[in-house]
Amino acid sequence: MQTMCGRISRCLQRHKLCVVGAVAILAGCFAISFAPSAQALPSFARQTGQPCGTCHTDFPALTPFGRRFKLLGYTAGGGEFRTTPFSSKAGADARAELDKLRGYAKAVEAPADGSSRGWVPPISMMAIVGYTHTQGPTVAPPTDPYKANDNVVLSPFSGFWGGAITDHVGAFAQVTYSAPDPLSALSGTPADQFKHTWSWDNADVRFASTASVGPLDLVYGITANNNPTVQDLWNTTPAWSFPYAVSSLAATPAASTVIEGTFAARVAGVGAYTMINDLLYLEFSAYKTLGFNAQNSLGMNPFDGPGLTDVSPYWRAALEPHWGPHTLMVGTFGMVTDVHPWVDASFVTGTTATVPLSDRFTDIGVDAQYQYQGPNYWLTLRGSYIREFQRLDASFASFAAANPTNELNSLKLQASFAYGADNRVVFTGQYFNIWGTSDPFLFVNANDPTATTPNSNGWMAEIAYIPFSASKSFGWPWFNARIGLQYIYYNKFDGSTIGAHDNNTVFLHAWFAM
Amino acid sequence: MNKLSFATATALVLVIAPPVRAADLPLKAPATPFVERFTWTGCYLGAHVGGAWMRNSVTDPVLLVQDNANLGGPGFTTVGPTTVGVNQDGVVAGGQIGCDYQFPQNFVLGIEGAASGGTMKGSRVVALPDSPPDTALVSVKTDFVTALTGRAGYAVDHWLFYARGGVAWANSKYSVTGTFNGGAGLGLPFDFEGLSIRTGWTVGAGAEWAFAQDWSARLEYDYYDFGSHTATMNDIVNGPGPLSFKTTMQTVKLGVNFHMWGWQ
Repeated sequence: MQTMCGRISRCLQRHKLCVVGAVAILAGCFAISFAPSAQALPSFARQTGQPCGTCHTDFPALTPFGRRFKLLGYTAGGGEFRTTPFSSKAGADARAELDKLRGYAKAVEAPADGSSRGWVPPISMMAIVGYTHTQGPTVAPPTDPYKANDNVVLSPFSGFWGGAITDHVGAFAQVTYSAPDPLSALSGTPADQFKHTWSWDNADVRFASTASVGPLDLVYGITANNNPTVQDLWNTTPAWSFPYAVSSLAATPAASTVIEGTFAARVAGVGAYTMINDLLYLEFSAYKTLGFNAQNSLGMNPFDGPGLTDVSPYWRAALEPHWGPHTLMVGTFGMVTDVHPWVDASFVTGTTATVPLSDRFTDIGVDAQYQYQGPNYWLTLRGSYIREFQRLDASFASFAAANPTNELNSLKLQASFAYGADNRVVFTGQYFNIWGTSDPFLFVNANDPTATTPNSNGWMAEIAYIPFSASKSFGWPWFNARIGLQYIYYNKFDGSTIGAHDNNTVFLHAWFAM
Repeated sequence: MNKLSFATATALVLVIAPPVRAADLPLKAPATPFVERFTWTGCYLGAHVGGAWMRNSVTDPVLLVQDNANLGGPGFTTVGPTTVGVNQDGVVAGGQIGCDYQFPQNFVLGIEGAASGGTMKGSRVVALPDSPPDTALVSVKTDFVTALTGRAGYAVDHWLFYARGGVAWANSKYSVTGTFNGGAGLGLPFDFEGLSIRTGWTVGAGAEWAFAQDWSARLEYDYYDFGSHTATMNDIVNGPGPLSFKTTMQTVKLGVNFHMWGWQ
């Protein structure tokens, strides 16, 4: 997407400058990075009758209740409005059985007569306005439509469907506008015609139900989504990981593992999942990239991705024991992706074909989370480590990579402290480290010709203020906001310490959810 | 929503009620039915869709191409600016959030933020007189419009007639493309690209009708003026150059709003 949001927003993608025929370690272009655009949606609050803080310690970080709401397919009700226009008695009874899973939040009185309640479409909007300052110039000339530094940009702007469709089917689906790349980011090749500002973004449509098999209490479901890990329940996996909002202008490290958003909104996937005895979560899914025309029609520049993939298996297993106010999770996730690089990512020859050879990326991740609910605060510790094994048959053959095999590692260690009910203040700190095999063909740093590795590391710190979290105060369930001040410090950037500090970023942002 | 105003109800009682006799007088006056008055006071969230028409005065695409050092060069210096018009049209669709307050005299004041995606495109072919029959295609595309406005209106029960005004922004992309032969078959392609985030003002007027509990629909006309702006037009091969745009826009939008917090 051009969009972002990646990590916000648009989501969740990263702009990667594709080397022809190359690997998913894409040279970073502009960091209009697509970070996960995530969301605490007012439509969810209307549906559940819960204040935002029931599901979120922070936007979009989930509490145990929030994870179960997602697990149950975004269908749980309880608010003053009907859950769906198709609600039935049978559906209500089935949901009652699930209510035991909802014991993580204080019960909210639901209207006695559900049939008399009105139905409001679960539609929401989101906008983030951010000020970006980087230690060195943010935007290379020509900078239009921005300044070289100190820019205020509205991006992303999103519309959502967030909530139940039927008693057992719900959806989270997002359409996003992302501010355009600066003029200097245009390649001057015919491929520029495929850049878009509007695109589809995160989408996750689910069916969920329950069953009892002997001693096993099961919640099970099917998910159809467009971004590996967007369906996950924990904020340790890439799609919903910190930072939740990022500048659309500041540069970010060029290298990332494939599972960290490379194919966000470029794939379609379907999978099955289950939560056993409210303890063990298991999922298996499969993804495949959309065709060139489909991606382009949905607002994604196909050439911003590394190519097209074969069917890619994805797995997830997580054990979440919980006792009293404590919740622990340890898990693993991963994906195997065969990527056929574009024949001509510049589109000079007019072809959208891919090469027969492929590069194989095997991503194996492990993650853990500890969450503690105090009387007036949430403490959350998170960690994730992804090791990617790259077999670069296609890129090595085309001289896009110097090595036939490489490895890439990504580590994140994070602590978050959310203090207060309404007028909540959230402090978050994160250490990140990306390191891997030296490859002079894949990794080029204009500031340091000797840099040939993907290595980047540093720290992030953020303080956020959320006015409405725990009560049905003014704004609920129609409006909320998150004001954040974020600082990112780089020890090393794209394989070098030279010029790394120029990328240190201050991002002051206001995030509105309506 | 109550259909009758209190005044109307009272008048009906006076006209229709039979004469009261002393023997009919109750010991205690019965409670008078009170018809709550409809008010536009409250906040709302909604969506809209409509058409948009934009006019651009572009100065000077001919000079941008012919005087470029790598194309026409010094020998092709264009004399004087020339302005050409490029019209765009398309569809706008988006959302809005706002709040209103209705005074006892039925005057309504409010504030609203709106954002729209747009498909407004337009282009025009211009001749390059120094190298006939060469031409350049000037294109403009606008895909995002936002506005922060205040509105003032007068309420007539379930109808609100209003005018609005405020600040607006529009994101546009420009291009000047073609092939420069210079009369000698040079065959030099050019592709100048530019981007802008324009700031301007807007005024408009409309009528809104509360047609159901919590819901209203409206029809609105808006005029936007984004003033003049000089964009940097960059060609990766031939280099950058300036191009000026003077832009206005008109929209007609049909919207629907959901009124929050017990609007009545």
